[in-house]
Amino acid sequence: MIWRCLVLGCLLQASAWGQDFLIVTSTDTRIESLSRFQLREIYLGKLKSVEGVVLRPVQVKRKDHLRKSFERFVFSDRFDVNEYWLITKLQGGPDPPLTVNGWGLVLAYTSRNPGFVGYIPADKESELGKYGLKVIALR
Amino acid sequence: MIGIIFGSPRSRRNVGGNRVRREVPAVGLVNELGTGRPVEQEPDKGRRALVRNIMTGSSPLKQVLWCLATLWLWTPCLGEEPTEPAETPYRFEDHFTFGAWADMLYMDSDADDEQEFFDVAHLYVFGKYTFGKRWSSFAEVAFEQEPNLQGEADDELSLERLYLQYDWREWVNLRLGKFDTRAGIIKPIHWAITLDSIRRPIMEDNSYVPAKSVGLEVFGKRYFGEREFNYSFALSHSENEVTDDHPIDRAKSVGLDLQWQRFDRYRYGFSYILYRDPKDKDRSVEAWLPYAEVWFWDRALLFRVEVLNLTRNKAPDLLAWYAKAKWQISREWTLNFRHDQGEDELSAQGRERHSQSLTLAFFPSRQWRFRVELSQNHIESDPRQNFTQWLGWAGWIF
Repeated sequence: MIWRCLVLGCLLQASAWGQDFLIVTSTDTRIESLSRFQLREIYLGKLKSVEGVVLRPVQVKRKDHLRKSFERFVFSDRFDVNEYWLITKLQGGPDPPLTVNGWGLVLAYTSRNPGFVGYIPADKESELGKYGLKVIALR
Repeated sequence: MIGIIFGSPRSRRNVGGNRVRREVPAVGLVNELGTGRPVEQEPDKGRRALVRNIMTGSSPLKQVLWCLATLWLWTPCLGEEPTEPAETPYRFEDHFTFGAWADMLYMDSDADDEQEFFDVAHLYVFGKYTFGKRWSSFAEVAFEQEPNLQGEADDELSLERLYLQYDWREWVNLRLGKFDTRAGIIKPIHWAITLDSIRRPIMEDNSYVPAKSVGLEVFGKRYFGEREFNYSFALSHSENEVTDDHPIDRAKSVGLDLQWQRFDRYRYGFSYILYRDPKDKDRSVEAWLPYAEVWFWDRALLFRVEVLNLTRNKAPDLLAWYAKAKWQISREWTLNFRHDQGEDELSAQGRERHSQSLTLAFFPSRQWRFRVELSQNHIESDPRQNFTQWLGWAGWIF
């Protein structure tokens, strides 16, 4: 019941920022939930592991509406994530998240790589079983 | 609508007909999910031998050649086409990232002895090679033609950074080589392309604390809830000397930077660096640099202050500071106001200079950025030398 509430909370929260999405990972990844703060730090390359589990973010291309929704949810309006990555690169900092061409590849990557974290449209939840994926709840 | 056709990923080599690539510039994409076999990345033996020969030298020219040769060494990796996804999972492959930036500067003023400047001011080329999960190396070469307040500029080609980094844990990482000195807020991001203004703050313009260190740095961070504690500890031997008229040259140093921050809200910290002349143990310089930065209204407004206090045991102490406010009007437009104050050895012969600068910046795209700036400068004890300066700047980065 608590689990369902968390997933529902995640969906409701995400929907306020545009397209609904789910945060997914392989069922082999020993992470059940993440806070919005942790999610942001993971997608900024700053947080590499949570509770001892090494996590690696996967994202879709910049022009994808799904990514725009995700970034609106995770970052503040005035935070320019592209500028952040330009400066990080100039400073020799961490690499940006692995970028793939569509959520189908997010499924493929996360299913084969325990520890990879990605986001997919919420209406594709039925595909998770086929790929051995699970939803990460937002705390 | 996202056009992906579903099915078992194992049944198709190319899920949804799409290719995979990383968003870092499309060079060095050698190990994308591919055909199941690793892409050849090893540079050929001839190139290795050449690099080894260059490495044996120690002069600045040889260091630059070393850096260029390192970049050239890996060029075979640059032209590889990203391959299609297949059965092999994407792991932590070796990869190369490459970047560059350049800018042009126009500068003029009503000062009597100042010349107009209009030219390319910087051209930076850098590359990072990541091997395995933990190791990376970084190299950067720069051409600079940066004018002082009088508009006088010398050309300079230099090896800006060259280091090897080991990322062990979030809280302990190592860097060995020539790297940016971690002190305060501006110094680690002192490049013209990343600043909010055209002229740097007074202490950075004067290089009172060298921008680069050669040695070993230990750095890391720790989270406390949503707060982050960062530290950096460095032992270095800078290329310059400790002298009485210019603060730090050819010195051994120890530096510490402690920082407490909350993303999008605030950042506080201080830096301490001690420089000592290895030839004269009584000649040393101590730098204290407290700093603070606060964001308001969802990053719309930023206030920042940095204060540098330099204690020189064979020369008068020195104080230089700046305070600034930045209004992020939109993602493209920013307005920045800064007050600088301090002894200016570069442009005012060591006298105190106060200046107020107003900068309007426009970033129309990721690659292009433009700024115009107006500054009013007051030279202590000689008001006849007060002057107004106007600047225009265009930068490009990828």
